[in-house]
Amino acid sequence: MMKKLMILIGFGFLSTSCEEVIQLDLPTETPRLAIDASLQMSPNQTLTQVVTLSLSGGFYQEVNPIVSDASVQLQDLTNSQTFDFVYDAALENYSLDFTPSFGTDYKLEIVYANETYESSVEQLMHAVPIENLEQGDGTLFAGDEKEVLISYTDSAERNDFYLFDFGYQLYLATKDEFYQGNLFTFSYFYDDLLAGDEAIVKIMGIDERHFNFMTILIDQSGESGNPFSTTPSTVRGNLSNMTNPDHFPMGYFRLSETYSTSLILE
Amino acid sequence: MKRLFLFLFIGLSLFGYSQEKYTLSGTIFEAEGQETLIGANILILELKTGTISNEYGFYSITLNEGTYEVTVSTIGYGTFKQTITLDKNISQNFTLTESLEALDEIVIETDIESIDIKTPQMSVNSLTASTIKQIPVVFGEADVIKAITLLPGVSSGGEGAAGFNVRGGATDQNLILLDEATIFNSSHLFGLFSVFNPDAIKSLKLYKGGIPAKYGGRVASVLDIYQKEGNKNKFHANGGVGIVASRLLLEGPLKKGTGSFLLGGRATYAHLLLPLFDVDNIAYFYDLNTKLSYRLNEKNNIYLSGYFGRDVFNVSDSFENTYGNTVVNFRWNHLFSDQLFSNLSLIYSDYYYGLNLNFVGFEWNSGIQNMNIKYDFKQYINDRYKLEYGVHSTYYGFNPGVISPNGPDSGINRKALTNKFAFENAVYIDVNQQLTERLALSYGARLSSFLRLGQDELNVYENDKAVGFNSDLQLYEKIDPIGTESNNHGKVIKSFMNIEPRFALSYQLNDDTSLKTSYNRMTQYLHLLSNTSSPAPLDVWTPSGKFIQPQILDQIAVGYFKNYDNYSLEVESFYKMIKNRIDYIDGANLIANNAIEQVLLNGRSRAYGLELLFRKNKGRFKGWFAYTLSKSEQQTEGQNASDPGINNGNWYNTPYDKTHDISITSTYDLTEKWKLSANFIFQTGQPTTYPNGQYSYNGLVVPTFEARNSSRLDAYHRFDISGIYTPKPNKVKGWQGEWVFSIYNLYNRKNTQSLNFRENQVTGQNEAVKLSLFGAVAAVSYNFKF
Repeated sequence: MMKKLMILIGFGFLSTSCEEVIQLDLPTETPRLAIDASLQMSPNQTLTQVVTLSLSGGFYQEVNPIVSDASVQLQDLTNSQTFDFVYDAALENYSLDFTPSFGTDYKLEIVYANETYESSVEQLMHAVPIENLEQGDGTLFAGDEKEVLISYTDSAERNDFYLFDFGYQLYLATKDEFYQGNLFTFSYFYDDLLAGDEAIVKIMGIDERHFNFMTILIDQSGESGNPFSTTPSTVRGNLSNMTNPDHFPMGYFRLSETYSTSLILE
Repeated sequence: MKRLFLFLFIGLSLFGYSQEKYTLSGTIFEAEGQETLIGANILILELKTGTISNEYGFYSITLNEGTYEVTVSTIGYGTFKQTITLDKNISQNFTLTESLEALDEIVIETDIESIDIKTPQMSVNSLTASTIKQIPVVFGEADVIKAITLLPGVSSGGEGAAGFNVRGGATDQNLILLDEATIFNSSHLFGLFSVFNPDAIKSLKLYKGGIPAKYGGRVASVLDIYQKEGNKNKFHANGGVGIVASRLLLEGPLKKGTGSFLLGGRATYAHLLLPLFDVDNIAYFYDLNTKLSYRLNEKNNIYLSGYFGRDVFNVSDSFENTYGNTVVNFRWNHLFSDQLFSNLSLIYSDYYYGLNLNFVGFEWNSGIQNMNIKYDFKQYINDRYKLEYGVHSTYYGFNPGVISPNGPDSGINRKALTNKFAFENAVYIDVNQQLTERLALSYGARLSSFLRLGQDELNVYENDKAVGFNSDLQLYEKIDPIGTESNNHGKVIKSFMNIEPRFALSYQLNDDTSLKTSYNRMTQYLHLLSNTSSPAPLDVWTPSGKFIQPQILDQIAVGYFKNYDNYSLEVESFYKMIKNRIDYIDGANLIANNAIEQVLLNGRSRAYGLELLFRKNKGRFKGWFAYTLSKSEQQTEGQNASDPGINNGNWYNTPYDKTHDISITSTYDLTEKWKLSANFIFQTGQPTTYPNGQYSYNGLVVPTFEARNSSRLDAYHRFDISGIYTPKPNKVKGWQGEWVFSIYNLYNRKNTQSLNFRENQVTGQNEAVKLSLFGAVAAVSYNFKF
């Protein structure tokens, strides 16, 4: 994040720089199964878990086809139980009423087009509640951003990794390496929001591998226009194709303790 | 090593002292300010032999007793001739007068250049400050690094890319020396400017191959820059006012004829650089060059020089960033005899990078410090035999980063990444030998050693393996350490020793033509951790040790060199191979990573190519045409049979692979008042990686990518022109001014700096977005001296 900021500054001042959309012929590989399986747990709430399956497509393809004819099963390896997700045609996803528990090994298994996909074994990851969310008056480069200040107290007992979801497909992954066990406050700047818009901020517990995965994904899918960006590469998640390893799937299976809070911007 | 020395002494005894020999030695000065002249030719026409003045202007030649006509000359200065009767050892300084090149061509004897044809040194390019100043550049600010990228075998990542790439090498593989001191970051403002103030520079040499044993520690090139000493006779000032920066250089005598000072400064105008933003935002740089020179006597000279530069950014008080180099350097030239020249350098250098992130509440400080002693000797045994030898020793302290709270309200804990320490030592010897009239040799070796010293909390891994391959997910992952160990900072925890042979040969076909070949091995013990194609100031240097092996280069080159009356032609071909070139696992995070070994894979790189330089050195029309055809690749195989490495262990293009690279640089003296310059540059587009698909995850559109660096950006090309107008060209005293008008990228080519693949927020459609930095940029600056 720091690096990206620095780069923005470095290049922001070049008044002659320009961006233009160009037509580029890009290679296209065979479609792969994309698995979006983010299970959540919020204390004292019963949540419906959803898994969305789709196919990857060419870079310019507008809509990725939804996969509706797969079987999706959650396995509780600790208690030797299985739970089947059911496809909901209206929502175009697979759903299951289920509350994950800490200290339990889970695995996701998907069968689609005669190929079996399995996740690695995952556990529910801890998060902490957001104690305060307030608006600030700071700005960054453009000068008209909306600043929100997020405060939470990190748990001193663990090395934690958190994923923040700010809505509007805006994410931030962070780790407690530098604020272990402290009350920590940081600012997030919304570029395009106006007074009256709602800022919903969600904190989710994730593990280190997912932290690395999301850090790269956020960079690759963002529009930072980072001229120093690292050599990009396809990022593998925690899922593999057991039938045909080369036809590996994209996406991730995670289980996160989740807290959420919101604010109407002024 | 022992055997090598033995061999050298046997070689030496072959040239026994059969006849009475005497030494002619001294220093070459320019007339106006008693500035020493580097690389001046001292020719003895009767014997068709000669020598060249060294980096401190000293020369020495030992000949049989006799009477000789001695010709002393260098480009841009008049030729001096004197008949000398050598019947005893003679100490003789020569003073050359700057030739004010009038419109009528000054004919300089062609013999002058023949020395270059003779010496085995190849793959080297020299530029003078005046050449650099005539090359049109963006914003009109003369720039050393931009100038050397116009030479064959040298390219850059385009505008806004820091550093330069030599023969397919990375930017951190260049050894950059300013008055013998190593400079770690050569750029201001992310590569828009280089840290060298062109007014303060006397000469520069870029070695791309056949690198003498005197130099070591980097594997691609050596850029050796010497600053002026300052005028020993009179106070002078010169400077310039441009659209983005101004500079001023003061020089003058401390004691007339013997001591001088030089003080130079540059700064950019912060607010003019930020037209897009309000005045809350600041971005600027400044730098200071200082030098004191004192000639104690004929045998002793001392120099004290310093460099200090900083870049500063500040955005709305949310974010502050400062970085730069500091160098202090003391040198002592001593003549042990008229044949033995020595220079002792004591150097302290430091690179600092600091951040203050108010909106997260922390400060970040990192850097590298080093203390360096060099003792170099040049022994001029006779006109056919010269030795260079010395010892170098450097102590490094690396601070990879300290994070600390920036105020009492901050939730940040202080945390320091582990400091690292190392000691690099080398001894070297180089022999330059004129074997026959036509055959000259240079051979030698550098014995280098690197001692990685103890540190706190060094990770310990099972079987020393820090990276593993997850075969289920087909990706590389870190391996958790099984513990840590702490060692005394004086204890050697890992040591390396390498012999680096150097060899060069030239064979003269005739007075104007020669063939040369060279081989050099070099070792690089420091690595810049950067997985971008051009370095960013935050990139961290790390020493070799238990997990990172030193890079070892082997390079061979052959060349054909020819001088015509006013032209010269150089054709060279090279092949090089580097062992232990590190690359990073997919998705590696290098920032604030205290266990960098967990994201590294060991590989190798190679490059080969053909370079052509056709140069017109004299006359109203001067310039050069440079063409390079080359290939630069990298291979990172798996750690064992079961893991694939990067790109399935196949060779892939490095980001510096530019198949074709053409530059044409020219200046034309139109009238006494007007001098015109133009350049044209064409480079094959930089290798890049395209997306080959996309998928949806968490509402994001995530691209997938093809194999590393398998596509290319568009070709890069542009045409620049400039005109220098001197209102009063004949004025040599008092205030003298000149105007420099330039247009960079005249035909407004939108060169691609980077491609960004993203989802359009309005249409939801994925698109490829091209970022180009500079269209046509017109600039004017005013330079003055008095």
